[in-house]
Amino acid sequence: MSSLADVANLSDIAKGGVGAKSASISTREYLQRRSFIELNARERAKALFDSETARELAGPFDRIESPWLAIQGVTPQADDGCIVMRGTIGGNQAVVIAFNGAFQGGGIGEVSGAKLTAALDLACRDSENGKNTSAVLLLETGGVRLQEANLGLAAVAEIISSIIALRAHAPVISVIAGPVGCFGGMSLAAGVSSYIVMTREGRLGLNGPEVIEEESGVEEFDATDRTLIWSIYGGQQRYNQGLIDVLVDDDADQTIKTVNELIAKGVPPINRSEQVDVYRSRIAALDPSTQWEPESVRSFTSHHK
Amino acid sequence: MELDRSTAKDGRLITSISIPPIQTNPNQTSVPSVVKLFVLKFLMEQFEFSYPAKRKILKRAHVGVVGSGDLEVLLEPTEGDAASVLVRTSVDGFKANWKAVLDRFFGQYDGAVHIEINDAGATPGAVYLRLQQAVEASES
Repeated sequence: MSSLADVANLSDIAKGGVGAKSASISTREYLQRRSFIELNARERAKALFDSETARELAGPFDRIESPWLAIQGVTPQADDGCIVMRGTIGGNQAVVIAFNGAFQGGGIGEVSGAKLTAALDLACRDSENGKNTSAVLLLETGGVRLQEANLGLAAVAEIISSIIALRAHAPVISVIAGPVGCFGGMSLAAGVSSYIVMTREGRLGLNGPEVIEEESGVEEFDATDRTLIWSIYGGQQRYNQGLIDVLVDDDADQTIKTVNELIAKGVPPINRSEQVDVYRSRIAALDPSTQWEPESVRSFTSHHK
Repeated sequence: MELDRSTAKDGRLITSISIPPIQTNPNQTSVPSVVKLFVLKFLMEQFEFSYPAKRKILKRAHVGVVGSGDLEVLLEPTEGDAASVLVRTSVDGFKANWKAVLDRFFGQYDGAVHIEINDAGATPGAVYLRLQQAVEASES
């Protein structure tokens, strides 16, 4: 793929890149707003709940850490990079699961995967017993943690089936806010959730830029080209493609409001991942013999809704 | 199957895996009930330190993240007149530096606490700041 710096209508994505100001607000408003991305994972999770209702489950002092990292010379973390909180959001029962992108790139291991699955399953059980419990996933993850490869892959399978079970009762909302983004198996988990919320700084994709460059060469994908990366994986592009539901600014209050609204909205009439015919027809209409650019992908998807 | 972990004198981790044998004949009692496998692995370095303490601390605190160049601190109140620190680090060969930072920290802090540090290559300055942050969080 060629460099996209010359594509005029992508300049808003470039402006909305990491740390840059969104075009839609004034400098004053930008400085006054509370960033969601700059909160750490635990603060992000807590911020979503109605005040004083958040309660952390299986927290760091429970020391449920990965048994596989120390024997590979990697220091484990006391919560395995996965924060689970229970409480109410807009008066509705909810569980929030936040991944800490700073620990192992937010990678899913045996323990963090089990924590996420268990949280979803408990929410599902409560929902089945008449106490509808929504789930919010704050995804900052490169996918499966390589040090726990097979167990991580198994965990992703369990996570996906648990999301599908829960989404019939209560909405499962994936929020991809930070520049770590959501990749690999966890992008599939995001794909089966009821709603996806992203910022322009967020990224969503199956194979990350480095993986494509490694596999197909720098001519295919230059993983150092940030404009290219965000014009393909970025929140704005994913929103324009109709692959996500809501695009928010990096603003804690706006993100909290959006999550509240989606929970209040409830289960969607049809989930994105159930629209098999729509996506099959798109694939059928795609001509792989031509070079697809982010711009052409956008107009293509807007003509194949 | 059960995993048991203990640390040898030289700091290496001993993981013992207890595997119950397949019971072919329930009347046969001479077979040992558990077969023990010992796996010796080199783990990242691990140190323990202790310091005198005077002051009772009321609240536990957790700060930081095991990210590159950073560390996680778990601070918990203990009974008695001593403080203990357990350090696990992925960067080998800096025990003297850890001792110097902790000596300085406990020269000013007298709380009766147990501190666990999970380190991913933080500088001494970052370690000191995280310890101060943990103290602040436990006393706020």
